[in-house]
Amino acid sequence: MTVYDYLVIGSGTGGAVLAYNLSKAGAHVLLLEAGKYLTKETYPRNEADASAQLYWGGGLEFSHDARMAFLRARVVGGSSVVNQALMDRFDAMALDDWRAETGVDFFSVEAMAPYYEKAESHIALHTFVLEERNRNAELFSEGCDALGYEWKFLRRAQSDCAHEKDNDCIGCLGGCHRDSKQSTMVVYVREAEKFGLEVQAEVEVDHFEPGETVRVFAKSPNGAKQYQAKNLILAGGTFGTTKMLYQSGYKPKFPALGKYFSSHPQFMFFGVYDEEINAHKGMFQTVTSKDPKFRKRGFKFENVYAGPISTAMLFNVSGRDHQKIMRNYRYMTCAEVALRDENAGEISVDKKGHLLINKHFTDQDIRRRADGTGALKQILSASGAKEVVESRSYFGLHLMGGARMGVDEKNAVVGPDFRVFGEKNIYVSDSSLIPNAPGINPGLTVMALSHRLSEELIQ
Amino acid sequence: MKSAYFSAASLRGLNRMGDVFVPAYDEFPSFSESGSIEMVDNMIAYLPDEDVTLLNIVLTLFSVMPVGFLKWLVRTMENSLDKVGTLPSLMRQLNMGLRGIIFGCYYSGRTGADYQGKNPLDIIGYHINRVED
Repeated sequence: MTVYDYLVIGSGTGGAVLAYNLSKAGAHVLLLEAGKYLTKETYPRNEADASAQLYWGGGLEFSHDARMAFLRARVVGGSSVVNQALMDRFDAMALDDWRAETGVDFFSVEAMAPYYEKAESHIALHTFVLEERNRNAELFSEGCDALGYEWKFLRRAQSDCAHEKDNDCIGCLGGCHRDSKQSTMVVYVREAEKFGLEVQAEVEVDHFEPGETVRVFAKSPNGAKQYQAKNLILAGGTFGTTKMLYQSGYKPKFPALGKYFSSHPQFMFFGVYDEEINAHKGMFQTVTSKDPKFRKRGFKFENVYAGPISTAMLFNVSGRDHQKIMRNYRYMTCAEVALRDENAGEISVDKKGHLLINKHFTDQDIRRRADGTGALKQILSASGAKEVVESRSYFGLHLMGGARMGVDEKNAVVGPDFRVFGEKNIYVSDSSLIPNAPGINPGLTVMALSHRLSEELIQ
Repeated sequence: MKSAYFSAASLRGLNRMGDVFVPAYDEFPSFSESGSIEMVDNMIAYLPDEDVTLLNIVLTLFSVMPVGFLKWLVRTMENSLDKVGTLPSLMRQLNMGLRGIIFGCYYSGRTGADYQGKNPLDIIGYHINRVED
């Protein structure tokens, strides 16, 4: 059996960066991914197929009490294939919080800067401009202006979205058909393959056995698989990495395993107008709130929209009430409140190997939700909406924690050197090591952290 | 139609429940009229096996339940959103699972081979332009 230098599990913003850097440095690397190996030619062309094919659970996963839904990508490239590729550095508020809570000294704006630069230099970045706003974004910013709230244009990882040819970017939520979106599939995995990276898709790792040579046990459509490597890097994301550590027997050793889960819960609001908005057309997500008051109060707003299936799911009605809402599909704007939630959630795994997600709102979360939704309703009303409709469903897109980094194994799983405590050759580099919710999209930071680990491993 | 995952009774149950979620109204065809159930396998193929087994049982029951019961069940599921306890949790799971399948089929852009009416996506005016090169 081949013994790889590095076996990387998960191909999202954590694993793909490492697979690329290590392969480029000459290491023999195998990248395993539970999802399919799809390309711009083979990404699904409609919302239903995209939801079924690109996400765990056939579209959605739920908290144990089924109150909160989670979206978790399952495809080579991970969430970077299906997300909006928004790329923000963390500010001092987020990183200083992390440092204070974990004792990890490189959680600072200054220490992270070189790694942010590495991540940013590897991808095409575009900050939207005024003429790229669609009507949804125009109305959101007009509402903010009317109330004196600051907003800003988003920075996105994209190269050429053919805006001038009237390309509708909402389609790329099912994978970009022109390789403009800078997913890790485009900018890392395919480039790493040129340096000899081996990729095996549709392989779901069950557990591993530590040792001088780590043994990894997995299943695939072709049956059970086994692998060996000198070093193992877990990058399966918060749910995936936590589950693998659980199933490999680490829970008794680490009380923190599965804990400190946060997800930036998102609450969506729709404004209904007399004019045709067509929020699904053009560059459909270009602006966000910037007001420092909101940052301090623990939430932000994003101006978004969704395809018809997702929109239908967001409204908990049926029959004629449902049809009346869908009739207004082209006459609505949408914005969401994203909470900087407390890390009070917990992930565990039952005897059958099912994930159990316990995610409840703390008193602070409830206060922030009320505060944020109140302000967002005002913004939509100020933008001229004749009616503001709240979706009573909410979900988490940024899944964080479960195997968090720290200096003490009593309240962490991974040390500042990215090693699982007590293991010489087992590393974690993904959103599971995030200690608490930053209130900022975590993609760029996970990439930056993986650049830091890459540097340490290559040295 | 035949499904690789659902029995004939399950498909009947899905059409009946689909018509409660999406009845014929205004320009909208009912779920069963649209024939969009024909694409259900595209979605079910990616569900865990045990979810498919449970769905088969539930949908088979729907095939024989009175429509009045199905309407009551939908109202109960929709009213379970903020309730605490095991039963409301099950209702929420069932609600989201059924809505995912029904709306996923209905707004997939595909309709049945025998359906002659307007596509639901045309009715709501959803068209996107994909510039692929």
